[in-house]
Amino acid sequence: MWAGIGVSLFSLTFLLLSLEFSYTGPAGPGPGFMPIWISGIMLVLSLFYILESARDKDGTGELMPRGAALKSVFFVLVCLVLYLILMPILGFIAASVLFLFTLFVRHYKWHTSIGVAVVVTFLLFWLFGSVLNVDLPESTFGW
Amino acid sequence: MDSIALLLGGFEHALTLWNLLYCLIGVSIGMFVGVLPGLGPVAGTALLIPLTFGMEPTSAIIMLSGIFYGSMYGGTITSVLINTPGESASVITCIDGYQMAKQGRAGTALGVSAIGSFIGGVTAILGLTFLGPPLAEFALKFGPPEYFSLLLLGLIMLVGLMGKSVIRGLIAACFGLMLSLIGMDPVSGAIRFTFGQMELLEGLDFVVVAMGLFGISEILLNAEKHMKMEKPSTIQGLLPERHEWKPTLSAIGRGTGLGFLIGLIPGANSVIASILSYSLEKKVAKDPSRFGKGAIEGVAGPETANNAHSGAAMIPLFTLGIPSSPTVAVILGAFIMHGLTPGPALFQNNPDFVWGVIASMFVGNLILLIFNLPLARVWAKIAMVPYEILFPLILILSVVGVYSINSSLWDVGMMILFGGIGYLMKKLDLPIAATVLTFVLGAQIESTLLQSLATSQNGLLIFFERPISGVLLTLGCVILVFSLISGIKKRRSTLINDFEL
Repeated sequence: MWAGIGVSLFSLTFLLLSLEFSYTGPAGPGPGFMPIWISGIMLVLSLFYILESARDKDGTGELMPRGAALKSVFFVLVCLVLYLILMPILGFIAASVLFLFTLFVRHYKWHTSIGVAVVVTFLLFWLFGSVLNVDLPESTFGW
Repeated sequence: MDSIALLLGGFEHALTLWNLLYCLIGVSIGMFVGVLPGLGPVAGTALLIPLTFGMEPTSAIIMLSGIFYGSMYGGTITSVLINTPGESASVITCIDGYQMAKQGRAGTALGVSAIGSFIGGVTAILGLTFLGPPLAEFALKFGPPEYFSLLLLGLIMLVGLMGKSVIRGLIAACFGLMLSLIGMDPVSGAIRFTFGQMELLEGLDFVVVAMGLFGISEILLNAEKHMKMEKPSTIQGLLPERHEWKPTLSAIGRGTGLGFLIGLIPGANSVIASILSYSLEKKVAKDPSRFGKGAIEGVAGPETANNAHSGAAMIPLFTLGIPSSPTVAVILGAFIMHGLTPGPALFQNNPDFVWGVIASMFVGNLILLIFNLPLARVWAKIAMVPYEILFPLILILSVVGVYSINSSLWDVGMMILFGGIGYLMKKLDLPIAATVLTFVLGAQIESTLLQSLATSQNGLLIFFERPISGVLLTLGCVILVFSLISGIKKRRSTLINDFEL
């Protein structure tokens, strides 16, 4: 139900944005042609979708995880986002060790986690940095 | 007989040291991905695309397609030994394969599926060798209207065959199309939906979207549940008993034919092939009650079918540029990134590439046969690597992989965003495959539609005035109507819903 509303809002936004582009071009249809049609169709479909999920009682409420399961999904997502934010600040090596350690430490002893995190990070640093020549992000200290 | 000469030339290409090595790496990763329950072939291919960037196109596609058909072999091992399918095409193998393992016949189950997979795979590639060139020649006659109709038909089939509701399928398809419109329009130069972000000017990167939607979302989904492994059964003796050879071989034959045909249909994935093969075996068997209690045909048929499918799925890709399953869509994305346009012209413009890849698939299947017959025990051990160790490694590898494409953290952020979107889509039964397919084909769909309309005097009627496109579109409409009706009557099989990958 909420998802259906989300979809219709998404398509409505894109439909309004599409109106900016010209519907016709110099030779037939222009850049606005596809966006207007697609977002319009999507808007209509989303209404059906809302209807469908309203009729179907045992819908999305059951599907979303609760409690511990939901927590661990969020945990992984938050770790990823933090990793992304920290990478340009701490540099690739420190951020990666931290990221891996946080994920490992939930299931293993802290010293094993640190060990694996450090080894994996340096392996990746070597593989991407030296073998594949990728410029990995560095911290202000240059590492 | 041109094909044979060209194929031999292809072997020359495929048997160079480096390409052999990439083929070996590809099928090994495929086996690995297939064996691991938490990671399917789509996620596997999507996550490894960045590693192929520095490679030559031929080597890159050799490796990626190796992952695809390699995973079909690998999935069997865990299905038989621990009753957990390594990837969804082997779900059906659990039924009789695990029963066979319980009776101490795990070795036979694995042996039979390896032999069947090899026969199915090689037959399908032979099909590609001989059917590919004439089909491509035929498709060269296609103009924009025919192409547009073909693309539309493929999409409708995909939407009609997958997921719970046609409406959700269509929404997912429209979503993919909208995403493909982001960035500069190649025809008019208009800049669309970038929200002022410079990074979006060239559109969303296919790898970023595919890795997020397929790879990251898969990991998020797995984070919900606790993965517990059973101890695998021991493996003894790999060959069936003498009286079993005949039924086994005929099951393999039927599986090959069925898998091949289904591979040609856009939108029908390997899960459908193996499920249909299982029910076919049950129907033709003299004593159907043996199924579910360790019937050898119930292992041989489906396992052959999913491999024949993965080989045959390359035919529409190479000849028409249309992917028939999500994994092939990812490979199609890799084609485009390496500057190749999949489609009928491929056989003419890049013969070295085409025949090199085809030849490598023969080689790869041979390597896989060796992997699976004498080395099955080794792979069974790998399946026991705990998921808690694996998933952080997969995550960091995908982050670094995506970053390495453009050295941009923006891409990493987009991947995480699409990972979240993909997770929600999986939860809501919106088929991700439809989104990725339309996203890959979006530019082509728009340009063929606009070109057709620009040359048409009667607007949309041009699609029905030309015979080939008229037939294709009518077919598409019929399928759409039928799947809508079956959706209303709630007759859609629940079996197919659950295994989208």
